[in-house]
Amino acid sequence: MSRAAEASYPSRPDESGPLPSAEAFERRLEEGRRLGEALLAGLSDAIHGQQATLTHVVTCLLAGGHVLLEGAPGLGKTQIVRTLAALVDGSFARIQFTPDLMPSDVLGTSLVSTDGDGRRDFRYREGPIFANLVLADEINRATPKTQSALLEAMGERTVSVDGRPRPLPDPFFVLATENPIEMEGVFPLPEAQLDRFLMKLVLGMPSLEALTQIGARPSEPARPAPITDTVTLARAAQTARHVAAAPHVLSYAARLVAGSHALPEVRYGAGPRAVQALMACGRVRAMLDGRPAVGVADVRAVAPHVLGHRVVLGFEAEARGRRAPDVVGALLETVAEAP
Amino acid sequence: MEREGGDRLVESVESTRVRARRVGALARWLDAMPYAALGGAALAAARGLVWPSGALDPALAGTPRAAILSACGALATAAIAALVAYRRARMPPLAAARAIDAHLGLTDVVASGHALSRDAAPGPAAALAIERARRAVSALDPAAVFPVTAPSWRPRRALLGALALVVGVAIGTLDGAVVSALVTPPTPEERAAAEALEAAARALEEEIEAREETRAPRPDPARTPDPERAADRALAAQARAAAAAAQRGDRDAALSALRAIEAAREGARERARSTRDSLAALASALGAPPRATGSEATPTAADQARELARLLRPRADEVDPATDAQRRAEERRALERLERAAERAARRGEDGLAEALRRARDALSGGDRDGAAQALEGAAGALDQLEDALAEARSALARRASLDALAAEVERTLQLARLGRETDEGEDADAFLDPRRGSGGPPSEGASSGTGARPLSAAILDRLTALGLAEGPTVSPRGSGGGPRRTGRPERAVPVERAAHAPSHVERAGTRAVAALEGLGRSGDPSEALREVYPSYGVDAEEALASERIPAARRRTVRRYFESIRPDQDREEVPR
Repeated sequence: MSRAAEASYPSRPDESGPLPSAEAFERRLEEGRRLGEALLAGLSDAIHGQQATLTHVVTCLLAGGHVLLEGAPGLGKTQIVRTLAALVDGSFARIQFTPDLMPSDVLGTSLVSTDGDGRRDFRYREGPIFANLVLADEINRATPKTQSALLEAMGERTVSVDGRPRPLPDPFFVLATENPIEMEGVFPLPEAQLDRFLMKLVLGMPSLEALTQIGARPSEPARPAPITDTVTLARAAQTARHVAAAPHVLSYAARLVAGSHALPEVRYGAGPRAVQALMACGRVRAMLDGRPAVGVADVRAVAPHVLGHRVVLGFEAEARGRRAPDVVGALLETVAEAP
Repeated sequence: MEREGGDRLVESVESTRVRARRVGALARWLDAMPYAALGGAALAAARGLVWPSGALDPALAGTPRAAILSACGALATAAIAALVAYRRARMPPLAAARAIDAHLGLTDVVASGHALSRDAAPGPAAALAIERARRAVSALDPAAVFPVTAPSWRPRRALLGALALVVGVAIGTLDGAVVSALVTPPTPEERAAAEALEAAARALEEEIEAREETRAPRPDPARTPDPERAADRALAAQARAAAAAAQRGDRDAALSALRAIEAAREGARERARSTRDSLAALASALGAPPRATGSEATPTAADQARELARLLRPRADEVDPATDAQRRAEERRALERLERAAERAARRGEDGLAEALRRARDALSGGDRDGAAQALEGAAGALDQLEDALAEARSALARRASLDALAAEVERTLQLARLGRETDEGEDADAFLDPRRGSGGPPSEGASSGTGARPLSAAILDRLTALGLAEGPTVSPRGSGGGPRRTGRPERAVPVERAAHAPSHVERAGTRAVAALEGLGRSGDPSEALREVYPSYGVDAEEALASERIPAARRRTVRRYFESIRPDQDREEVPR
């Protein structure tokens, strides 16, 4: 079994090797916590004022999911991915999505090549998606066809070209960005495919203090040195998947998702995959906190970002200017923590 | 070790749960204390329904009863509140574990560990989570986590509760009788009737005392009590109680006392009737062929017994064979009479008399005519006592007649006041209830020759004239001068027959009667008009009869009246 298959989420969430004992698990839990702490510290050095967003990005990275970043230009979306790629000793690729970008520009294509003997043959040339960390910049500028190619690869973690499946590397982490300001010449992502992203994070303006720190910095920060490799990262992700979940926490996540269908402002609630996403993110947060069991508070903390892009608001709610995070906030207030 | 840790974890959570339940129940119970005060106040306010003071003085009797009820209500409500609070403060283990987490500042460590331990979740992560939970609760003291704090003093709440209790007791002090007396105070007629009844009761008591002074002292009053004297005293006391209750407006108590008087009267009548029947039966049993003495008086039972004794005395002509045969025939007849009389006396409960008669029978059957005569003399003495008792009972009934009549008058005024017709409507109702009242005799006498026997048009005109809606003295003042009026409210009793003498400007019609008969009487055929209005009139009458607002004693009169004015030719004859 490939490493990519081992760490894949959510297509194969249960394929994790057994852990020897509680003591060994505690050690690996500590390793995972330190890794997350180190990644967060490295990101925080480069990006100011987005601490919560950085935590969620690290959470998604360790949970094996992808992140959709939405924010105005200049808020550090690209910088986050660049820094993360530098911290992880893995391959990095950036795809600038434009309307004329073709799926083959993302996935790769077969080209005719001539070998030394003069024989010609089709040789597959991998696209930029074959990298550990992929920055899909301004994904909503690409046509739906190209978007679908990327989203399918994100979900399957495999690219099929010429009828042959080609697994993507592990870890495979896509961080897509979209610009909410420009509405001309953009192709909004299909709502049904948005749940390919584990979280959707909306970057807001940093605080005044953070802006001051940013202004005080003389130049762009230096590219940080790698602090981990892909193997360590995959192992931490595996540890996170083993974090225990008590029945009442599972029940809470399930009730949150079920409750999203009962809200009057919501046209379509979150799907069953949202429960898996909530638990995966909650487990990583528990690991980052050094806890062997996920708690209700972990699920609450990630719920707005996990469920926000999975619910489709009704027309009336949109007309009233309600946003998905607001509705999810109301949902969190409604659903009781204990059954 | 893991097992011990799991047990320790469960123990901690369980003790925390129990502790938290107690604390929560206490807090809820203290919060419910105002409801306890309200419950006590509500029960105290309902004292008039729950625990009425009846004939007692309401102002004094109501307050302690209301206070007792308020205490009982508050205690009961507090007990119920404690039960509900304890039930609602039930805390599941998960909530207790989360409370521990909250107290220790942990994120679901104890809750998750407890749940995983309870479910025996496998895997190293679960084992580690349970171990960490065990470590977290190792130094936990549930008593410190959930201390039972003293209830905080809330003066505002306490003041409101006390105020509610005071208001409840104040409301509970007012009995239904008091409220009734305040809302519908005693009418002048009720007062007058009550005063008359009280005067009659006083007179009866004075008469009892006077009779006692003139009567020879009884040998042993304790062993031979005078039943009629005790009955007179009881009757006077009840009459006084009824008069007092009527004067203060407690109509229920007054009616209750009046019912007791009526029951006593019926009892006395029944006793007198029984004694009379006994004497008549014995006289009949002992009755010898009437002697040609020329006596006009009917021989009493004692006379019969003495006559029989005289016949049984030995006589000088006993040696005469012819007389002897006659004598033996007399003895046979005497034996039969004695046997019959003894049986009747025993059947009527006169055991002493029965025994004397049996002795006479036995002596006679044994040939002891003298002994039989002596026993018969003794029986005659017993019969004399019965005669005296009967005479005394009759005398007592006669003595109480005026008081009974006054009691009936008080009851009538009370019933009228209850119907809410003390004013003009009351007069109207009075006339409706008994149209012939005051016409010179008891209602039963007037009813026998009432309106039903007269021409219908004349009866209608009588009625309309009485209501002030028709002119002309078309009614003969039949029986207007006969018999004494019942005391109490002579000026208000306006009988139909006497309405022609009433001032014409007096509006005597009740509202309903005016509405029913509007436009009638001045001209046209009254019979025709009555046919038009009678159906609704009759329906109203039947409804009134069906309800309990009309006293049972008056219903027959009302029915008879409406039957008498029915315009149909084939109206029914209502039995009296």
